[in-house]
Amino acid sequence: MASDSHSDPDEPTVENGSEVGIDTDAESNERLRRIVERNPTRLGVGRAGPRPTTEALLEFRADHGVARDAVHSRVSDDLLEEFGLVRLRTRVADTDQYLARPDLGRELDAESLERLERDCDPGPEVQIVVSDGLSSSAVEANVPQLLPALLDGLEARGVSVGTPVFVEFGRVDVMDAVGEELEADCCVNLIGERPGLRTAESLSAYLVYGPERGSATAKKSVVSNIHDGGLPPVEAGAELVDLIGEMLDAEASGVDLREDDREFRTES
Amino acid sequence: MAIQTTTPAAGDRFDSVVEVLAKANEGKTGDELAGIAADSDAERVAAKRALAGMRLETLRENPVVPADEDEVTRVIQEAVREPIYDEIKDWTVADLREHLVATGTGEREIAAIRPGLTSEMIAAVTKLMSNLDLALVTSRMEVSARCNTTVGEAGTLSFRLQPNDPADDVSNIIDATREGLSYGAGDAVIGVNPVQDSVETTTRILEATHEFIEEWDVPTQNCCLSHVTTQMDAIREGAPADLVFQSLAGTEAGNDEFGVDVDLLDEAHDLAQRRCVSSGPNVMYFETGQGAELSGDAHEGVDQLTLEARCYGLAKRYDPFLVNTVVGFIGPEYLYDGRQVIRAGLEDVFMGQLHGIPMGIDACYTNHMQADQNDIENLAVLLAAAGANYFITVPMGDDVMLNYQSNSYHDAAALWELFDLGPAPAFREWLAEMDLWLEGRLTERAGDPTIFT
Amino acid sequence: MNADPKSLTSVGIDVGTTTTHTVVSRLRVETPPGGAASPEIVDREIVFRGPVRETPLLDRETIDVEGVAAFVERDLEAAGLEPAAVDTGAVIVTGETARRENAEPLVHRVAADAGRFVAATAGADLEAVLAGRGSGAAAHAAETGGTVANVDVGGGTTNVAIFDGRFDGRKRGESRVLETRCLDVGGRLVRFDDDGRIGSISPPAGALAEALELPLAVGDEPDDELLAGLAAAMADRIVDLLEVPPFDRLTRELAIGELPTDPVSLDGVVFSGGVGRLVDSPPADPFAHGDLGGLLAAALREHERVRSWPVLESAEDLRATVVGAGTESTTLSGRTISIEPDLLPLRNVPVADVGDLAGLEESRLREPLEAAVARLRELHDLHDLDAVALSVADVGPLVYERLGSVADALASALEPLPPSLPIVVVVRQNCAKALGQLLERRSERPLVALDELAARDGDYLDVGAPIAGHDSVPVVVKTLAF
Repeated sequence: MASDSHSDPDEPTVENGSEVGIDTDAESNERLRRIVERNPTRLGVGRAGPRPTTEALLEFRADHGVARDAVHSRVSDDLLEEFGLVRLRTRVADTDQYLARPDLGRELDAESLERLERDCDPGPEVQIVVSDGLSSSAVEANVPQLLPALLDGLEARGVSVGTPVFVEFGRVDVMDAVGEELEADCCVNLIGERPGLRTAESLSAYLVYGPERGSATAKKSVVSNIHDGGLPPVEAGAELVDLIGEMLDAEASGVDLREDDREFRTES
Repeated sequence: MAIQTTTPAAGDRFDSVVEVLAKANEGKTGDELAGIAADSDAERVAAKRALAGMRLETLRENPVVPADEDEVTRVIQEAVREPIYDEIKDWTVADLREHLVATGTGEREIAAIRPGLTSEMIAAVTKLMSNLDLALVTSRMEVSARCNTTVGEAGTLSFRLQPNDPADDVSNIIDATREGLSYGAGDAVIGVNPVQDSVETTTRILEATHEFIEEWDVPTQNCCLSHVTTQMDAIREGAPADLVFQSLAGTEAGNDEFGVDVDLLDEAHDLAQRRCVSSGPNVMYFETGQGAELSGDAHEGVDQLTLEARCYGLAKRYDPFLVNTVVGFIGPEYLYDGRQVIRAGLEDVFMGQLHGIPMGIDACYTNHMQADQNDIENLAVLLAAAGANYFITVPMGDDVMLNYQSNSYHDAAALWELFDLGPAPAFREWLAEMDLWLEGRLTERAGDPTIFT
Repeated sequence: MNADPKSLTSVGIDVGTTTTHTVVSRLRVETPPGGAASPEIVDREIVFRGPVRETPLLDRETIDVEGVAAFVERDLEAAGLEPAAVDTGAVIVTGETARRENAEPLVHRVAADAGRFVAATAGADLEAVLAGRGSGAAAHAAETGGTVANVDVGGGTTNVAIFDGRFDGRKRGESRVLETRCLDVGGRLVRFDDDGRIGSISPPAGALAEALELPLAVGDEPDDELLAGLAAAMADRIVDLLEVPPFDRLTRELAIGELPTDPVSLDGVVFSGGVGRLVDSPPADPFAHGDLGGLLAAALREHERVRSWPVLESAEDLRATVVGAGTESTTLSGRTISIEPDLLPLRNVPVADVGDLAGLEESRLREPLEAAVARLRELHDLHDLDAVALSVADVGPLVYERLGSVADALASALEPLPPSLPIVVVVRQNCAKALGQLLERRSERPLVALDELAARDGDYLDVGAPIAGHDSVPVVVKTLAF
């Protein structure tokens, strides 16, 4: 989360004198406090001459650093072990290539294709894929709460779930390759969203019925903004249980399932 | 058609104008992703040589997308003033570059050849120019436009105030407007990107910003950057808009992805002229950005710089008030890092101004790009030196709605000080009346949003 | 239900001491952008205002139920509205009317007539809050971040609600109700006959007159000075109600329910209600309404203390309570909830507040849940009810294991309740779907789990069917205090 001063309402953002350019009288301070509190943007940060205050500058850099780290760090083995995720990899060699070549992030490398055949149950109703996407932090922060709610919920409804996998350097559409290889009825990709400065931990869940390589983005459903400050991961897991149930019943996903208010993003 | 370099030492042969244009481009990940970039620096330079020797007539006669397949091509071709074209059609692209950088070439000389240029010619010369070439020639051009205020006049540098809110909450939007104005930003436009593309939201945002502008008598204009059809519906129902906005692409297919075509844009322009509440005459606002066509799978095998130029060729039809490239928004698969973003920013502003459109820039980056705030501050310094009309500014550089970073409200005053510039004259007077601006500097009161409550 | 997912048609009906009115409003529903957001009511527009009618009485103690029902029917007809087209709303009996013998059957009857999901409500505190929302006092608090009191002075009672607009993560434009204070003081406590004599003196007015030794009696020619003295005494009580504790003995005697123990500093005061609105705009003839209302309004206007208050103008020229009932009684649940649609709507569901579970270890979770279930069993005849509700302020951290423990404790605590009785679980955090699914696996009971809502002990809930396209249900959190 952002560590900027608006997250702490008790701490006025501006107080040291005229250089910051903000009246220090009580009434105007109170009005400023209200503006700072209710706005998610970086308001009332003050200034030093024409430049931001040192504190505002460092907060900004700190938040950007967190976002950058989320893109460039990798998901830990501990998480994969804890949930028994089979580790796979796309044809991407490293982060630099991942960022520049989305096409390579949609297909598994040869070794992963073999492992998929060897280690994963074929033909499940639901295949779960976890991908680092653009934020490994999102995976680390949300999957431990989301996955049990999802797995237990599906089990309680008698839905068969395949061997969950983790795909390193995965794009959204890598779910098509995994789902097609395993002949799953339905495939879910829990993938890190592009980090923002407010949170680097936002996860999206893409769902597709009848996964096949090259299928249109519009055929996928998505639940986005999954993190503690948005849709809590445990609640997202329960939401996916219901949504998967609907998809299996309707044998459809995305625009074919229903036009509703779920936001549709095509970022990754 | 086979094209050979004038000095065929490298032994390179190119099969088409499109290929030469693509391979002559400075390195961009987007062209690599499209599979049309030069394979090596040697090939890149060979293509530049081939381009340098190419006559403008060849570029006119070989538009990158055929005219019978693409209305953007037709718009560009039909706009050419033939007598002027006839005078320069035998120039090579190298001649054009040297004419632009020649001592004694200024806005008047450039204006004299401008109507004879096509977007492909402008793209071609850009590919031959170094960063300093681009900055130098841009600084010689002065393209101003007038809505309620005038942007682009000598001695001025304007700023769009972008008070976006992730929930389209108008009270938050107004708070962010207050803050921006208190830093002196906002003379180009108070322009809001809504999350929800609906007539209701658009109307609500237009009404709130318009009301605020009226209440404080701010010499500027408002704009809500929803889809053009949404704005048109809102305006027909009486929403107070000063400008009408749309994102543009450089191919018909790309515009189709954006849900627009020339007929629709003509209709929007006509409506804007009749129904916008601003005094005009320039009432359109466009945004563009290298790579948009490829991301919509509508690039037709053409490189992203040439397609960007064609956006400006289309924009010119509507005598816009503002046009800016959103240069680093699209992501590292199109512009990889700070270096590519800076190059693209210089190219875009140069190409826009050479088209004769009042060009500004959103110098920005996303968090998955290899860039940081220093890169776009660099770009801002370069383009302020080069005389871009305006920059986008957001609170402390952080747009929490579009989830990217751009210039900060703070950067306005710093750039004015650095280059001895100021905002548009009417806005400058208003800032002085508000006691925010004195003798070229912000006053002590500046930076406090509560002065507007 | 309604076909347009963007708006709800809501009716508000106020059956007051003096008058009865109906309003019809359109509530615009939007889901804010951002994948996780829940729908909200973003705009409230009154599209029909019925005429203000005298509340019909059969005798001094009995309301003419048929008469009121006929008024409402006529008003809805004039609004061009079939009861089937009404999505939500509330009927409230207010002031002295709420204490009449047949108030309870009246309000249920009118609610049932007005539409499938119109809530029957009563209670001075709810009335105070609805009036404050209807008058714009609540919105003013939210806008300015200040503390604003709404003083609704009606025929039989004066109801004060104090709103706190300080931002604490609520939805946009909302303010918190800090407290309510209600008093048996109103303009109709003394009525005049057509010939100008005193026709009736309600007990609270009688008590006041006696305490001040003002010789007032039914049948007397009114003495201007005596009446003005009584009105001034009433105004004193209203001022006292707002300005202190400690309260005067008379104020305490006239209070309805509890009075607060701590003083509140106010940034604004709004007067509303039939008498309250006259404080700003005095009528030419103070006796035009045949009661003490005009004089009471004048006494307030001229009161030395009131003149020092930061009095704000009311946003509503009608009586604020009916506007509040029509536009502000319905809230929306979160988007991710767990419901069995066949169970809805549920009406008059009593709430037991479990409180805050956040600090409790797993082994101690059952205690407060069992206590809440015990209160429900003790206070209500469970066989007459659509459902019962448990309200949980905070379950603790939103982690899977914790929710499992809470679901375990809930399933066990619910044991003593009849197995077929539907259970509504209301949580403030966004976790109803996860909690609902966990509970589903532990209990066979019919279950509705709703989130992003708060309800207290003694409240009742009406829960409607999901709003088309929004995955959310309308809920009226209300009281039924007669």
